[in-house]
Formats: sequence, structure tokens, C-alpha cells
Amino acid sequence: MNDDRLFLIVEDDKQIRSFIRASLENKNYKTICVTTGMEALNIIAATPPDIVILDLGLPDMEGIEVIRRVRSYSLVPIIVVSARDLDREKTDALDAGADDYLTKPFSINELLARLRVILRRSGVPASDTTESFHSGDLVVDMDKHQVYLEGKEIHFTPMEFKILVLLVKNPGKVLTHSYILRVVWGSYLDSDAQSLRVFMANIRRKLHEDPSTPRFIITEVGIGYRFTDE
Amino acid sequence: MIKQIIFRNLGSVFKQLLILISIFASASLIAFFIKNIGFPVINAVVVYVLSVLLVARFTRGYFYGILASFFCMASYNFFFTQPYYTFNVYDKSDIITISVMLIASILISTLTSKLLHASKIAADRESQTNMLYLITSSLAKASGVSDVAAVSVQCLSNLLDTDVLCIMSVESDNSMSLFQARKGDRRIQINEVDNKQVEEYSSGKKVIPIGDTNNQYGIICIPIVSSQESQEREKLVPAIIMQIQSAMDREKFSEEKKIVKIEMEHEKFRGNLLRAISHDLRTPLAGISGTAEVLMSNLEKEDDRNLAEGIFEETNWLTQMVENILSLTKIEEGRLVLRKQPEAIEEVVGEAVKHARKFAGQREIISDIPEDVLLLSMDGKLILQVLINLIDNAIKHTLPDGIIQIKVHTDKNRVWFRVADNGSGIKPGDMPYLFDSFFVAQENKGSSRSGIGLGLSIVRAIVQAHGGRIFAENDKNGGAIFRFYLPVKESAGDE
Repeated sequence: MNDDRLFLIVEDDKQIRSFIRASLENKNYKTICVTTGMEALNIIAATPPDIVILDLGLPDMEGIEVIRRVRSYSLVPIIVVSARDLDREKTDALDAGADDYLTKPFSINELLARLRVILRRSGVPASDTTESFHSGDLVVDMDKHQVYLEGKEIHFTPMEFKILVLLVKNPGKVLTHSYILRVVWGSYLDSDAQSLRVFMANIRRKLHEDPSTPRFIITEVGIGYRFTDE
Repeated sequence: MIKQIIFRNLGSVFKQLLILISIFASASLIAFFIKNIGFPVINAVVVYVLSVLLVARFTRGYFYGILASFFCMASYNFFFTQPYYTFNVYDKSDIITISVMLIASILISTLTSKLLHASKIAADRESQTNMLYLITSSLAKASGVSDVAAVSVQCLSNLLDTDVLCIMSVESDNSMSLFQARKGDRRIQINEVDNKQVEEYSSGKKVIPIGDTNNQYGIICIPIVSSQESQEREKLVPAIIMQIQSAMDREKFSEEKKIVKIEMEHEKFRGNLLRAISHDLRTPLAGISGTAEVLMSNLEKEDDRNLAEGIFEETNWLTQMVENILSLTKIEEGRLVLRKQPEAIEEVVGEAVKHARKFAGQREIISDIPEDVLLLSMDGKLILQVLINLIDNAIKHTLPDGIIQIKVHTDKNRVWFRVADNGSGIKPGDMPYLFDSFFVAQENKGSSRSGIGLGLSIVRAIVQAHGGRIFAENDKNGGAIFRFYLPVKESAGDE
């Protein structure tokens, strides 16, 4: 496999930095390693990487602050890797613009899988999102508002379709409950959080998804949902 | 004793009479002198009235003043009105003089006595107030319950001019301390005493308890006294006891507050330490397991790959252990905060099964969830942990080809979760201790990777925090069954 895509690893722990780097270089990816938030911001501005792996506990500034600053000028995908296991922090990081979140200790294979999903998306030009989406058996036709699974058309209500399109357009990215509600509902009430669960359950049934062996929609309990096209 | 009192009283009466007679005699002498040098006899009246005033001033009570008034009247009548040396009166005006003199004398003597009495009461009050103030201020300065007791016996001893004892029960052990103030000695003796000694010390003395029925601090013993002065002063004792009690209350509360504060700081320190440890352990553990994982795919020799796999597995086990200890500490500190949201049961169970499959090997995990979407208000992450722990437990106790079943069903106002396996089941002897912290089933003791028995106690704590209950039993056909329910709230009814 040969790939000239550039990975930026922002991590102050030497061992973690080196094994992430080793596993990425195994796959022939190029990597840059930095240890502080300031260095990360400089690199992202000077030589934009294709993906950023970011630790939240940096010596010079909070990781969330790094995400906010990067998002003010760049859409580069960010995967957060953190030793802190707080739902609040997870949602904060995702809402600040991070794409995915892994809690330490994490499996390197899991990290690689998530990176692959994000990389595939970032290779697709942005204009493509208005046409149709293919993933294995699943075809989502954005123009005609149609969904096909294994060649058969499946009926989706307008709301279900909106949610599915939002997920499909952001493969690999964890969409928090509040983000989905904000985008799909516009303004929302707390009671809409229940409706979201029900819509998701219906979408899952229409796609013949078993939540314990998901093909497309991964549940992040207490956080949100993630579309995968692995 | 009674004889003594009578004797003392007789002495007092005698003394008063002596004052009366000497003043009266002096007045009579002066009156004779006035008469002899030829001044008008009426001046003697003035001298006698003056003498009655003096008697009233220097004796106690009304009695001696009135007695002096009659003496003076009789003496004037006898010596200074004609006919002399008889109690007869020739001149009618003398009768008026004598009557006015008697009335004036009696009035003066009673007024003087009253005045004296009032000023004595005022002086007494002042000294009592001073004494109370002194005691209050010394009690205010005392710090600690035992210091209050020492100050109390000292003050009472000074006030009553006698020996005073205070016996305090010590809360920490069941012993008692004795505070002893001796008359005229500024030092306080403090001794440890037992019940028998307490009885010895308190017998024959007046015993005053300090504190109310729920909160008894100890007792104060003072000798029974009879002198009028002491009795007067003893009237102050209840007020002082009240002061002592409130001082002890104050000191006890401040001591309790101090202890609570120390405990809180201790807890805070512990919490910070655990947070730091959790962060500082997770990072190196992530480094070790990640590195081992990379080695597992990079190493060429199979033996080396197996070694790396060993590191990887051991690290994962250690990680789980750390997470469990942290969860349990959080629960035990009462810091388990539920972030309840309506969650779809199928999502939580699905996620648990998905996670458990990674460690299940060849075992089959079957989940049976109602077809209808079931929403329930819960902390999704924690219930996920409950299910993962139960499934992990089932994996540990089944053979590599075992079957684990997860079933969800509802009854009227509960959602039941059931995790069953076809493994070895639960030993009857283990049943009562299953959910205790640090309990490990007998068969697993000594095996290196058995865990330290935290999983199930965490499970129970989480279920209970949600208002549910958990049960364990054995299947008739072999294997263990864990069932727990969560109550259905109005906010998340069935759909």
C-alpha cells in the first residue's frame, strides 16, 4: 500500500506517540509528531495534514482549545485520543468540531479502522455530496430522496431521510445527539431526544441492522451516532 | 449542727443588743449633759431621734430600731419630763412631744432599715453579676470540652469557696475524667476514674447534671452547705450550669466541625489522588498495550508474537482492574452522578454485545430484545457497563464453546434484563457474597487472572442507583442467571 497522505500526531506521551507513529508507518503513511498545542497549530497552518490525532491533555493548552482554533480556519479531520473518560468532555470535544473520540487505552486496530473511514470521506470531493452515495449494498440518492438496499427501494419518511443523509454525509464522524437534533430539527426540546432514538430505531429496522453487529450505524451510548462504511 | 446554728444566732442577737444599748447609753449621757448645762430639754429629743437612726443603721432588721424607739421614748419620759423619775406626765404638751418622738423614731428606723436592705441587695446583685460575667468570660476563652470543665470547677470553687468536682464521660472510650478544684488552690487536678470511684466521690454531695437527656456531658458535685451566705450564692449555680452547658455545646460542635473539616479535606485529597492516578495509569497502560499490539503484527517469529500478545492481554486485564477500582471508589464516595437520558434498550444491549464479542472467542452470544422500540430513562454508559460486566462474567465462567443469552422483557412498570449462560453456575455457598466487594468465587482463588471481585459489586451499585434490583440464581439445566430490573418512569414510557 502506498499513500502520500500526512498524519499529524499531537501527543505529549512518548510511548503512545511512538507506537501510533510505528503503526501508521507500517501502513506507509507519512507522519509528523509534535508534543504541544502551539506546535500543532503552527504545523496545521503551514503544512496542512490530512488528518490530526490529538491528545486532550497537552502541556501548554487544553485540547478542546486546539480544536476550536483549528476549526476557525480548517476542516481537517481530527480524532481525539484522551485518557479522560468523561462524557461531558467527549461531547464538548465533538461539539467543538472533533470528528471522532477514542478513550485510552485504545486498540490500535480500532484507531486504524476509524482513520480509514475518515480518510475515504476526505478523498471525496465536496460537490459529490449533492448526488448519490454508495456503500456496499446501500445507495442513497440525495436528489431523488430514494434509498436502495440490495437493489430494492426502501421507503423512508422525510425525517428519517434527513437523519440518514446527515449520517451518510459524515462517515466516520461521531454526530452527537444534540448536533443531530440541531441540524435536523432546527430548534428542539428535550423531549425530541426521545424521538431521535425512535427515528434511529426505525432507520435501523429499515436497513436490517442488528445493533450488536452494525454494518452502517454505530451507536455511541450516551454520546451519539457514527456512520461507518467499513 | 443545729446547736451551732442557734449558738451563732444567739451570738448575733447579743451583738446587736450590745450595739443598741451602747448607742442608747451614749445618747442618754449626752441628753443629761445638755440638761445639766441648762439648755432646753427639748434638745434631748433630737439626740434620742438621732440615736434611733444610728441604731437602725448599725443593726440588722427593723426590730432593733423599733426597740430603740421605745427605749428612747421611755427614757425621755422617765428622765426629762416632769415629774422626773416617773412615767407620769403633767404637761399635756409633753404627751405630744413624746408621741411625735415615738412616731418619728419608728419611721426613721424603718426607713433606714429599708434603705440599708435595698442597698445590700443592690450590692449583692452587682457582685453576682460580676461573678457571672467573670465565669462567662473565662468559659468563652476555654477551648475544648475538658478545658471548659476545668474552668467550670475553678470558677465554682472560687464562687462557693469550697471544693468542687466535675466528672466528665470521655466519648472515645468509656472512661471518665475527674476534674477537682480544691478550696484556695489555683491548680486543677485531672484524673482518670472508674464507675466505683465516681460513686465514692459523689456520695454525700449535691450532684448537678450538665446537659440534657440526649446529650449528657457529665456531673458537677458540690458539698452540701448550710451557711446563709453560701446558700445565697448557690442560687447562682443553675445559671452557671447553663453557661457551662452552652460552653460545652459550643466546644463539642466546634470539635465536631473540625473533625468533619479534616474528613472533607481527606476525602478531597483522596479524590484528587485517584483522579491523578487514573490519568497517570491510563496513559502508560495505553502506551504498553498499543506498543504490544504493534509488535504483535510487526514481529516475524511466532514465539515473539506470542510474547507480545501476552503483554497485550495482561495489560488489558490490568486496565480493566484499574477502571473497576476507580468506578468502585466513585460509587463509594457517593460521587456516582447519574446522567439520565431516554435510551433505546436495543442500542445499549447491542453495544454491550458488540463490545463483549471481542473477548468472547468461540462463545455464542444471543440477544433477544422485543421488536417494539423500548425507551427507558437511564444513564446509558453505566447500564452499558452493567451489561458488559455481566457478559464478561458469563464469558469467564463458561467453556470456550459456551452460550450466553441476553433477554429483555417488560412487565407492568419494570424492564427486566436477563443474562444467562450454560457454564458451571454459582456455588450455593457463594450465593450470599456474590455482590460483595473483593469477593472471588472459591474455584477461582489462586488463578492469576480471576479478577479481584469488583465487577458484580459495581453492577449492583449502578442498578440500585437507578432504583432497580439485581438477582442471581442457577438454571435447573446448569449455568448461572443474572436478572435485574429498572423501573419505568413516566418520562420514558413504552413506545
